[in-house]
Amino acid sequence: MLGHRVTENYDVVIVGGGIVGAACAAELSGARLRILVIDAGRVGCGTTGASMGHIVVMDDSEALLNLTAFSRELWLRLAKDSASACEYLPCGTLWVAADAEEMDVVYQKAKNYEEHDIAVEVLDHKSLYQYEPNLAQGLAGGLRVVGDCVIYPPNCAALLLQGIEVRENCNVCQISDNLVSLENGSEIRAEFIVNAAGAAAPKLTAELPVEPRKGHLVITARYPGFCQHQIVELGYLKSVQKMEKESVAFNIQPRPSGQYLIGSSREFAGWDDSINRNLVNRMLTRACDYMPALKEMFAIRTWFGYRPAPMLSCPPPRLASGDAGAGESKNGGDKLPIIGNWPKVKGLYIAAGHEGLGITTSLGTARLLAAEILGQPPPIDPAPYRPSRLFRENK
Amino acid sequence: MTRIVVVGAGPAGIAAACRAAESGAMVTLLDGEPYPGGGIWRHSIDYSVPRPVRNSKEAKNMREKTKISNGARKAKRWFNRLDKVGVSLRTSETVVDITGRSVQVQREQGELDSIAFDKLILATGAHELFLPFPGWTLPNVMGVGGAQALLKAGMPVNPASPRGGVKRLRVVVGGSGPLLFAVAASLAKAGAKIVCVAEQTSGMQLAKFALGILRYQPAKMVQGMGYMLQYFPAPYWPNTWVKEARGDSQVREVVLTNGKRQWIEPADLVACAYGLVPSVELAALAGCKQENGRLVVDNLQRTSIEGFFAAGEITGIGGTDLAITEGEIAGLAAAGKAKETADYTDYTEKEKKQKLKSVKSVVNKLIARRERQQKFARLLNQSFALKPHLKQLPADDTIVCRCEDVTFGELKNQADQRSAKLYTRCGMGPCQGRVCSSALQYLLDWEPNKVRPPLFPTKIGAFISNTESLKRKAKK
Ligand SMILES: Cc1cc2nc3c(=O)[nH]c(=O)nc-3n(C[C@H](O)[C@H](O)[C@H](O)COP(=O)(O)OP(=O)(O)OC[C@H]3O[C@@H](n4cnc5c(N)ncnc54)[C@H](O)[C@@H]3O)c2cc1C
Ligand SMILES: Cc1cc2nc3c(=O)[nH]c(=O)nc-3n(C[C@H](O)[C@H](O)[C@H](O)COP(=O)(O)OP(=O)(O)OC[C@H]3O[C@@H](n4cnc5c(N)ncnc54)[C@H](O)[C@@H]3O)c2cc1C
Repeated sequence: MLGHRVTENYDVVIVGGGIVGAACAAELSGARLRILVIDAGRVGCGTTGASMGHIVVMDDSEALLNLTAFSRELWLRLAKDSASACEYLPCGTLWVAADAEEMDVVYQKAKNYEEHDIAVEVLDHKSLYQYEPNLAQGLAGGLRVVGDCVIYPPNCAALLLQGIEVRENCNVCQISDNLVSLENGSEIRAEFIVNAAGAAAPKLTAELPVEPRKGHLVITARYPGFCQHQIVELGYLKSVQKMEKESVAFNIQPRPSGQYLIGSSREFAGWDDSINRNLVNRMLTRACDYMPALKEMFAIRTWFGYRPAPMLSCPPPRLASGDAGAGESKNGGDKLPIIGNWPKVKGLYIAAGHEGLGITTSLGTARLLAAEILGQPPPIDPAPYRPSRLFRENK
Repeated sequence: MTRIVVVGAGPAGIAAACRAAESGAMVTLLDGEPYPGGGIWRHSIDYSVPRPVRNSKEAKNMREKTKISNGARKAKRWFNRLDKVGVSLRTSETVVDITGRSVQVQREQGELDSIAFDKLILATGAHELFLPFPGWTLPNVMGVGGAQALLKAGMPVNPASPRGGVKRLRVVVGGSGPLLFAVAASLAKAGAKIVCVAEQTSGMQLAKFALGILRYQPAKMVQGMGYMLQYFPAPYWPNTWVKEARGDSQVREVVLTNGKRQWIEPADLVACAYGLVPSVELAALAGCKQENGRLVVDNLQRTSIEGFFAAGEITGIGGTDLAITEGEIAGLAAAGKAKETADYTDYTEKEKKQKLKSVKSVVNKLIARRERQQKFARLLNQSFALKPHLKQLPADDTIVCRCEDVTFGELKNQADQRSAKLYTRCGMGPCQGRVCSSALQYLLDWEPNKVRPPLFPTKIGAFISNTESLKRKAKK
């Protein structure tokens, strides 16, 4: 094999078989293009396989609301056709307000959602406990977002990739003008290349401002009926201004198996691959503050994943909440994913930086990207997510 | 004083704890089970009664009646030694995590405690390899250890028949290894009718094994013959294995095969195990180096992590005597009593022998003994190596992961354990793959999955109170 280089040709090469890469491939597959998806490991083995699969509309900013709401619509459509493959659970989201101050946020949020035709229900103290009797006493109320749901991400990634050529256990070591170089020495030419390598995307596209932001999850044994919604605290708001290196927020998700996923933690620790026991304990303590009965339940496993966090120095952050929210970043930023043409490399498109919302926003991302590649009208305004916004300062 | 924590109170852990304490270390011996003794000695001493009663004549007589005397005598010696040296024995305390220089233990009631150590000895033993076959999920099909445990817990093997008289339970024992003898013997002794013992390895291998025993451990031969006599006249069939269990509300019959033909035997109970696999999960969690599913240790039982030792079946399956010797060496070494002994890892066989002769320390004697016992261990592992046929045991619709109801058909096309977990949930249930993972490592040649804390299901509240108590400790 010495000196012998294989060169293959495809129309589109997508680097990364996570939920984002898979969604992009599925979206482009209708267009009679020769598509290849490459993953260093197996489909969904990255952050996608470590995540919660909460499909949630977020209103941190207008742009985030547009992308998440549009994406949720696409998820509901997908889930309607393949509910069991997706392990679809239409549980809604319940944002919990601890006190009067947080109730004010509930009213603001409700108004914001309703203006965008997102169905919500404001819950007072009493109705909160009617929905979720296992919440701690003394909470003020909450906001129920009816259409939010839960899916099982790795299986969804596999589902999206059905019928598409996928090369697994294949490491890409470089992306240059219309060329993807593999670790085994061979090369692939492609008119379009999509970097959807998640938190590892900057390893292939220098200057891409994405960094890993580690998050832990704990799964419990089976306790069917303990809670009905994905429940997230609003209390995060208070600590948001603090630029903490580590933070936790209460977030619980019912699984169809009767188990519960408990989150969430955020931490800038690079690619550190050990369990941060202290942070996990803090996270569980937070969860038990909100649901004391959790104390009696058994945790059977802990793991973590790396959120692909955008590190932008753009407009100041607005308030964020819960896990699925992008949370505060030490770098501030607009906390939006990076979707679209990368002007510095020929044929390169980016679909990365989805932080803690990539499962939700993958489908919307794919629509935006496909529209750009195929020269079709964009489904929503693509400007807020464009890579070109990152270069503003240089001009 | 050196603080030594020993995890696992089987023969290896007990020997390690004794040696370490006798050398002046402060020793804590932990076991997740309510009684010490590990797989083999746990029931030799009735710990549920206070010590004076335990040592009473009646208690002794009762024990004598139910125990295999040779092993029990040895057990008693070690238990007495343990009583004498003042080891802090903590049972019903399971180690669920190791962080830095402390172990996190979970008590029966669910609370966590952390115990700091200077040296750690891992002696977590082994568990059975259970290979799934069609029908294995029927009631009354179980592991050999399960059958033994039920028996010791008082399972009736000759229940009264409705038509008067007693109906002896018909038992098929299957799988591989000398354990089958032992369990068949104790079942027969308790009154069950042994239909047959189906041993997968060939008659030729068994003959070699018998010769080897005569050479290395003649006493074991006597023990084996004793077992055989106990369940006589049931047949012992080499080159035979259980292909399928059939029944309705419970197992009624089994299909046996020798690879060429198959036949049916009646059975009310099936006890099956294909040998033992080292329980390395805790060591893996701590990051100790492993090879082929065993913990890697050096001449003094040191693992790849400074200050961490390992002894017993966790370093490879080799039987009780080897486990004891390894435990003794680990205990002495951890307590700093093996300093005078050079580390002979880099020496040739000949040089090693010379050194061993010249330095007549206890440790060296033990090391020489360990070498002899390891020969027997190698013979054991060769003689009962599993046939490739057994990889075909499960059918496509045979459930492999019982917690999540995942079938072999769903698993066989997955690339590895991690993919299986991601796409089928195999091994994600409460047992965390403790049963199916070993089976899949054998059936599909998969690497084990990464071990994540907690090692065993742990009460969430315990994490928290533990953090709080840690904080309090830190403040003091
Ligand atoms: C604990 C946690 C909980 C979360 N919960 C939610 C939630 O509830 N809802 C939500 O919407 N989002 C959630 N997220 C966020 C979400 O998981 C991520 O945003 C999303 O998975 C990102 O998908 P991706 O495809 O970009 O990345 P990945 O899934 O990481 O995919 C990238 C793929 O690229 C491959 N790759 C990398 N480098 C190379 C290379 N050089 N060559 C070839 N292949 C390569 C990797 O193997 C990987 O498979 C959570 C994240 C975490 C950590
Ligand atoms: C089910 C079974 C039946 C057996 N029957 C026989 C027999 O009849 N005859 C015979 O000669 N040999 C028998 N053996 C083999 C015999 O047990 C071993 O050869 C010998 O006991 C090995 O000793 P050990 O100390 O290495 O491990 P073990 O005796 O297995 O002891 C390990 C101990 O560690 C404890 N432990 C493990 N993990 C943790 C943790 N995380 N925290 C706290 N404690 C932990 C376990 O509870 C156990 O008590 C049997 C083995 C098994 C598994």
